[in-house]
Amino acid sequence: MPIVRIPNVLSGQVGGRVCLELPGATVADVLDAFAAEAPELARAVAGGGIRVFVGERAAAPETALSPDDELFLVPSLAGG
Amino acid sequence: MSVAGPVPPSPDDAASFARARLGVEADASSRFVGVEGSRLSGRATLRGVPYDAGALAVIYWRRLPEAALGAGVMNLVVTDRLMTTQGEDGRPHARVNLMAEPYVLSTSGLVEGPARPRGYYIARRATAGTGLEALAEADAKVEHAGSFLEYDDPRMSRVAIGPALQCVFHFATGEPFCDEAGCMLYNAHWQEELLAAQLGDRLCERHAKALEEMSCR
Repeated sequence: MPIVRIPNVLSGQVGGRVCLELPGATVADVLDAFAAEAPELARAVAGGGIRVFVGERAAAPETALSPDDELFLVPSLAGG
Repeated sequence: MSVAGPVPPSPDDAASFARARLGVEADASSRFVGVEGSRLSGRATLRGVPYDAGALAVIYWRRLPEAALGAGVMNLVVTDRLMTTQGEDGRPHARVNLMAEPYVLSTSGLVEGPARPRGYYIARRATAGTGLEALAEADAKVEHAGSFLEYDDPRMSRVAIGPALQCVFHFATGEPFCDEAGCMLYNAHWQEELLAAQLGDRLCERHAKALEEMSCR
């Protein structure tokens, strides 16, 4: 199953975990499953406050996944 | 807190950084692998090349050791790569720091992110298309000397401390910035504000107290 990687600073919202294994054939599928685990973070993803990368590439909801893919959640908050 | 040195680059890293360049389609990124390799091995310097800040963060994240991944661990990468995020206007904007995993602080972002004095841009615009742009820019640099940060600026290390602290505060409290212009946590959008906040070497009373409390933990 694909793995969702969560920034250390946000892991408190997922019970201290920094990665979750979740089912899904697309990014949208995995994010649906993620919403059940971390609704607040899922809302931030939907609102654009957190971007999703599959491997090192920015991903869209329809991006297809293979079982060994890793999704990285990258907050957009920046200074300057 | 522990401080680690740079991780030696691998051949895969050049391809990763080439893909992270802003506006480069995946199938065209291979053209930049060679120059990224030169950069990683210290044989080339690339200034002003914009990268997608999120893609940069993921590159660093994937290379963090397993021990660095955990709820209580803060990771901060300092890079000279120029990172950008999409602004509210839909255009890329150079950034100083990104509150991601790891936190990323860009020294090029300190130079290119906050805007220079208005007069600097007016002088450049006035000569646009005349062939005198370089001359006008050189004149503007002399006229506004010291009022903005430049590459290799001796003030760089001092100026970077505040933006690094912003990352620390975000990790510890969720709030990286301060509204008070003289505080080192002030999120400066102008170079003059940046230099005033950072060279003043002070936190506001509230954040000085918060830092003291953090240090005691």
